[in-house]
Amino acid sequence: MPKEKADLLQGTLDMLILKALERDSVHGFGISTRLRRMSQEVFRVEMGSLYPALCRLEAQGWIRGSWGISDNNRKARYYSLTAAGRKQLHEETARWELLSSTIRLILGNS
Amino acid sequence: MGWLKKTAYRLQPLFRRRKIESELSDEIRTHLEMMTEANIAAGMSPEEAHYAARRQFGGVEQIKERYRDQRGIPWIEKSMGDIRYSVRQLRRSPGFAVVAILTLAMGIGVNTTAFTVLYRLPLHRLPYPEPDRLIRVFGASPQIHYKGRLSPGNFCDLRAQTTVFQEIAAAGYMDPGSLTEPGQPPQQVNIAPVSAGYLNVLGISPAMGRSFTADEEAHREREAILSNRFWINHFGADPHIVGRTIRINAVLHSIVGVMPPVLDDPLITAAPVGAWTLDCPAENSTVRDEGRYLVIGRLKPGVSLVQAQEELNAIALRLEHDYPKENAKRTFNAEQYSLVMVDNVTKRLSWLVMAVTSAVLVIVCVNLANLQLVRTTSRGREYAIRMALGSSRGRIVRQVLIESFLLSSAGGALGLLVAKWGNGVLEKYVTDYLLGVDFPINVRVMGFAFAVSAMTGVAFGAIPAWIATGADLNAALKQSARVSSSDRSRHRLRQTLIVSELALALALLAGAGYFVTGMSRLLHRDLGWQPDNLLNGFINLAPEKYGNRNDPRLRNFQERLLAQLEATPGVRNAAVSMPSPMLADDNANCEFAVEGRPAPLKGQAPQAFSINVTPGWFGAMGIRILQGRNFDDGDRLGAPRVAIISQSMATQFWPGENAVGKRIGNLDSKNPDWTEVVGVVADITGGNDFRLGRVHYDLYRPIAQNCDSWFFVTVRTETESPLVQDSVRRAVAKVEPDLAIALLTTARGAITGHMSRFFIVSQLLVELAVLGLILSAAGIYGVIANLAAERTQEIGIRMALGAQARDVLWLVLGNAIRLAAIGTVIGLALAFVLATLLAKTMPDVPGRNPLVTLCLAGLLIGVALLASWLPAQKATELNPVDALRAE
Repeated sequence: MPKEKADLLQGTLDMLILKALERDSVHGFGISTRLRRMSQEVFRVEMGSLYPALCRLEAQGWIRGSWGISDNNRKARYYSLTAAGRKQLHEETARWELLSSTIRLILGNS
Repeated sequence: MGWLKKTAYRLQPLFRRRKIESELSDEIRTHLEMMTEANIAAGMSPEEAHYAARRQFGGVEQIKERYRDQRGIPWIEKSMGDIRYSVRQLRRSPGFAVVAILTLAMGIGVNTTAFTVLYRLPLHRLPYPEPDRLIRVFGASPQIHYKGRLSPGNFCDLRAQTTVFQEIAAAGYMDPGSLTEPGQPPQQVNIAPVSAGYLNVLGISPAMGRSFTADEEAHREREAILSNRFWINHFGADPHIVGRTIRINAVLHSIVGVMPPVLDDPLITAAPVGAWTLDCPAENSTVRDEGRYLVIGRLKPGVSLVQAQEELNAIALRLEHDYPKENAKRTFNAEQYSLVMVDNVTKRLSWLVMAVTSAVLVIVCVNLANLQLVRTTSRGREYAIRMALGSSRGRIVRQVLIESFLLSSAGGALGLLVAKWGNGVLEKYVTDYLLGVDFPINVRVMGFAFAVSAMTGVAFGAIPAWIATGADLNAALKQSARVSSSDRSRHRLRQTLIVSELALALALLAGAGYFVTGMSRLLHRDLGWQPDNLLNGFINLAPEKYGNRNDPRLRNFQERLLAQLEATPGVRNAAVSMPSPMLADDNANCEFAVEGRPAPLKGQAPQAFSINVTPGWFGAMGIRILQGRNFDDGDRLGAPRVAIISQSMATQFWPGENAVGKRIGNLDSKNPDWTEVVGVVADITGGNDFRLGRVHYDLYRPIAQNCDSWFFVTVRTETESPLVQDSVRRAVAKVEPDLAIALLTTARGAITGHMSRFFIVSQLLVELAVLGLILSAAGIYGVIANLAAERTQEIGIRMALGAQARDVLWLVLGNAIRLAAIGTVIGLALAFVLATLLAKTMPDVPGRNPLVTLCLAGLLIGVALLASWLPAQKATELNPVDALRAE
């Protein structure tokens, strides 16, 4: 049971990271700030989840990491979405929308 | 990203661990710095900002650990860890590691060599394409056994009538022939006559030139295809050889091709072939009662062996109908072409060697299992602590197994070197009877070595690992240095291992003893003739020049040759025989009837080994004439037929009578062709007849009355010197310049040649048995030393209470005696089974000798006690005070 729950959360985090990378490539810190901003300061990603998730996504081939120079001249690892990652994001979004609308329907009816 | 890329990504940490780790650290540091900057921008002091960032980020090391779990393949990484750990462990006990690797290398090495032999000899497959379509056709009749040759007439009809074969071909007798070239002495070379389709049937095409064609066969062209080796050795690999002519047996043949090297493999042909010549069976198509051809065929695609047999049955019936006299009850039998050329004795010997080397490997494993057991016992506390801290039993077993695997892999790698060396030695040994055979280490052999290494790793690692981790945790943790609760069962196991090792070693010794005894019996048997200073050679005269059976030119040649030989310095006397008991096979049997006795039933007539000889032959061979007279010049063609028989034959058929003057004849009651017995000679045993005590009859006839164009020359010489052989060769060339004497060997050489493989095996067995003996001595030494060490305290107490050195000695030695005794009893039982098995499967080697086995058992006990004496002696030198303090 805990395993399934973790998977659900993990899957959700993966989707959110992909979403954060949708427009352009960004480093780990950028992802965390981006996610916070996009959720209007509600969602704070744990670093202990972020880095393993990045690794997992890279292993899946959905994102690609490469070393670059940040705005204030720091060597940072930038992550970008691959074509497969983009496809995965669309699928995940569609699935999520279906799921959430269904849940909303049920909750709304009760 | 395909699975390949994904796997590659996951495997990266195995090889680039450092880089990945440092990159991860860099990435996290950057992140922290950025967070710090953001905090400063939000108004914190730099120090505050730094700590806040740290707090927000969380535990860096935990994150790294979780990252690693995501990144790599955990079980591989853990195994790598185990391997590193094992290497460290082994480095800490280098003595054990070296001993283990060396004994493993020996064990795996000899097994790999045995496998190479097995793979090369009995398991060897001939290199023909689609071999399941290759068929042999044998002729059989009530008189001729199942696998007879076909007569030329029957072969021609079979070839004309068959529909199931894509191609069918005949191979005549391969005989040594003489090859002469202008200005050079004649050279002896094996000639294999074949019909036109022979190569097509095999599916082999010449490396150069072309095959024989049916058209050429019909026109009786004289053509030859050279073997690759002969082409290289004799013609210097001349690229323009095709089209040249050579003289084979004084007949000009044109060379149409050269065979591919694959046919030079000594396992393909019974003897190295120099040239294949085109044979025309149709030349003798009227001959129907004489089997001359081995027939092979390639089935049409989709035709089964059963269908082929049905057609052969139909053709046989037709031929019986057409030629009722010659083909009465004759049948043809189709059989899958045997892809294995090696004879049964060699096959059995190869398997025997494999079995023996496996036994050696088992001894090696038992020894190492024992050593591992000692090591894991002394590490029992370490395991107990690890398990108490939450390590699973499987994890520790895996750890120990990995250690064994490391050792066995290293041993296997070294074993391949041992095998390479062993194969080289063996190649030199066997070349006597398998000319030029090689034992290469190929992929399969390496695969075998690898598999054996893995198996030995499990074999000597698993049990100690399981036992070591099975101990009661509490007891193990509480234990003082040595006393453990599972000691009793562990000791029992170690003693069982030692007993089995000793038993196996004794079985090996007994096997070696069996062969050595057998060899000595074979070497010292009384042959009935004198094999020292005796030469034997084969002469094959061209029928074109000397005519066929009983042509006077043949006898004339023999007379001239013998005169020439006897005038040669170094030669005492010379004679001619056909065949020769030195080389002949068992098939040269002749059925006979005894005058005045009821005619024997068909198939039940007595048989004799029939030899045609010149009068000087008995003298040259050193065979005693017991009764009557020798042949003389009066016994010639046209004179009354006479025979000389062996003593066994005389006493069997005329017991208590004088056989001289009696008559024997053939089975045809209308025309028995009575032959008078004029003499009785001593029994003889053939040089390649290894069955001791077998009763057989010899029937000698004057060669003047039964002369053929091929025969053996027997020369009694002054010395064994090879110079005499040259003189004999020159003498033959003086009589007939186109002729080379073939198969010229000393009789001693021929006998040891026949025995060479038994020599090789017996030598191998002795070496392996000694290896096994040494290993088991080392094993019992280790166990007794360990037992004595574990009983130090007890011994100390006993000595303090007044036990004498002698009592202590017996205390320790008592163990060894008990183990050696049990091992010997089981070993003797094994040896008995083995001897029975060997006597059944190796009837050629009469080695059964209980006395030798008992002596070897004594040897084993002696060696075991000697090995145990050292630790026992050491125990007596204990100082009781030290012993009591020992913890």
